Amino acid sequence: MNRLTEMTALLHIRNLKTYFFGDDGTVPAVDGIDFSIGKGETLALVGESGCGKSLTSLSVMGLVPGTGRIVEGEVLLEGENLVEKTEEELSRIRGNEISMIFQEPMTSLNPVLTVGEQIMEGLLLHQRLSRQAARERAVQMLKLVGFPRAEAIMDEYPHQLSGGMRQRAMIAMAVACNPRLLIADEPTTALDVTIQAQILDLMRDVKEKLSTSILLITHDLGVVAEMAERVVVMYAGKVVEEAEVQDLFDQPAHPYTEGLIRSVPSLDEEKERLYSIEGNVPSPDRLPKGCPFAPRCSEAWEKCLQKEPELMEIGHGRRVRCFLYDPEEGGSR
Amino acid sequence: MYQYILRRVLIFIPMLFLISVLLFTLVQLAPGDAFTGQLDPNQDARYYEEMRERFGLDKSPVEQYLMWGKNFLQGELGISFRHKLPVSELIGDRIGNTIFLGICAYILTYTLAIPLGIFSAQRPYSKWDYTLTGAAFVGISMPSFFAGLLLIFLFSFTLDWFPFSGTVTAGAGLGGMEAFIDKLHHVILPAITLSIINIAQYTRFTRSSVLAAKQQDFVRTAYAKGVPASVVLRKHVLRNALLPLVTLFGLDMGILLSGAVITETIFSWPGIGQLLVEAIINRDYPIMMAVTMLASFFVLLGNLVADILYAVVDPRIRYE
Repeated sequence: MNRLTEMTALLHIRNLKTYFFGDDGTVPAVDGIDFSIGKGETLALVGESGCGKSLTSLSVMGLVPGTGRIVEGEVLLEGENLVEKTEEELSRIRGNEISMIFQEPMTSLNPVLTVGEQIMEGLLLHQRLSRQAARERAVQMLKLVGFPRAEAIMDEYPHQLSGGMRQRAMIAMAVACNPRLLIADEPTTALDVTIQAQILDLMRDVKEKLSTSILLITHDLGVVAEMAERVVVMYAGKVVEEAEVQDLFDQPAHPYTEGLIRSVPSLDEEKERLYSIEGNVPSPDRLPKGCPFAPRCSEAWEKCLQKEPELMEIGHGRRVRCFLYDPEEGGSR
Repeated sequence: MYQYILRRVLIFIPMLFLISVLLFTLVQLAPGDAFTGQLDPNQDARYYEEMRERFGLDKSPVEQYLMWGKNFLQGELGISFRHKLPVSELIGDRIGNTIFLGICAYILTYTLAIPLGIFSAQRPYSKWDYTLTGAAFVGISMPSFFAGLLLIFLFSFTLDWFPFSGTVTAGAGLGGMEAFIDKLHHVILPAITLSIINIAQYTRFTRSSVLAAKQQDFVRTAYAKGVPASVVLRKHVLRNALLPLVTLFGLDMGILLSGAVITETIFSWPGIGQLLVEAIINRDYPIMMAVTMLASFFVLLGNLVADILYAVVDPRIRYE
């Protein structure tokens, strides 16, 4: 697939910057990211904890927490800029056109409301259905996500369900209004491995049936390989690489992506120690000069410590932010 | 659930028995008796002997307890040494005043503390929040005898807005609505005195509870569903944040109904708290025993109500 133009893209994020304004100064947690999601596409947003991937999704939703604020950029949902919308306009989009599921199914449901009540809430709000119709639709959704006894689940409370069942209920809740985009923020991280596979299958299934686009946020490359069509790799608040999933695994372009892929344990190789990238993700309020990955990069040279590379197109719809691909700066790839 | 309630009510019996033994022992341990304070040099000593005999005070403590217990079980609370009237009648005359004062304090507490707490939590670390925090600390630190005197000084003596004693204007002969308004006029200062600490505490409690609930993941889920902020507050935040207050509601019931000893005394409010203080001073055993047993019963009942209410409002709690 070629890079999506604004016309074919469902969601187009352009130069998005979300900063936190604390007592100790400004923290550029998301610092100028660009990417698009096509209709019906699953895009994975990958990176270590603290790289700004969750904040990116919350920025799309208009739910930036605390002292955070979108300072620049556009979030275009089929050409409409969500950044300029009022809170009231956004609340009509959230849960209706874009919805979100979260990492912690144990705490993401309200403990004192029935599962049915929580699924119906969005339907009553956005689709203006009668209670009866909303209930029917909610039951239908619970069946879609694989509850055989959907009617009974409607009147149960979250604490009566297991983690996997809660995540199913969350998915039912998120897709109840048939959103165009589903943002899944680490949807399987808190679940058992066997349940993880079921939830991923379910998400794929739901996507097929409802032709929803998915923005999948994860740090698990196994999940990426299984789910995504395209991958955006983030590091320290910026996009460092973007590629088709197959290309990314076959031939990672950025040294950081390479490191991530090498860190995945493999059964084929016999190794005493697992590979890990040296060092830690820099805190966004103390970014090094030059390329933020340079201090941890085995390929870095002087240039990398002085100047930050731009995101460059390298063919095949791939983009990478690394001097290795810039002959003018002495790149050799 | 019904079994649970029944079991809890049955446990009242041994608990009240133990409380009665403890109370009786404490009363006996105090030196002197009801007639010690009345010694009159002109009175023949034999008179006191006779009186002690008449009220059974010459018997051994165990015999006295058994006598009291037997009467108590038959619903016979005894005759006050001092008032020479049946204790049940004395309590009956005053319990209404105590309940009225308790309910007024209750209403004041909850109608002020919850909105103030929510108001504070909606704008944390703002000027308003700090002001209310300061006020709450003053309220919590103020003992009721001091708060009562301060209110009397300000609003009765200085401003003359409210009366400082009694439940009605003496000899006004009011009826109907006017009588009720007169009673409300009298209850305001004692009710404020009685509720001031609770208002302060519950304001703080509501504030931190609401603030904590706002940070919960399910609140973020609600926003992600497109629920407007006002509905998120009402339906998701408050529903969870105010659950623990329900427990306090039950516990307070026990305490408020058992008579506000200090407040009733300061405002000469003829309730059972004041009756108890007077009985202790006069060593009027039948009143002491009856009022404290009643208070114990209310506290036990309040605890039970708290537990039941909690199960009613929180689906996660079920009693087997």
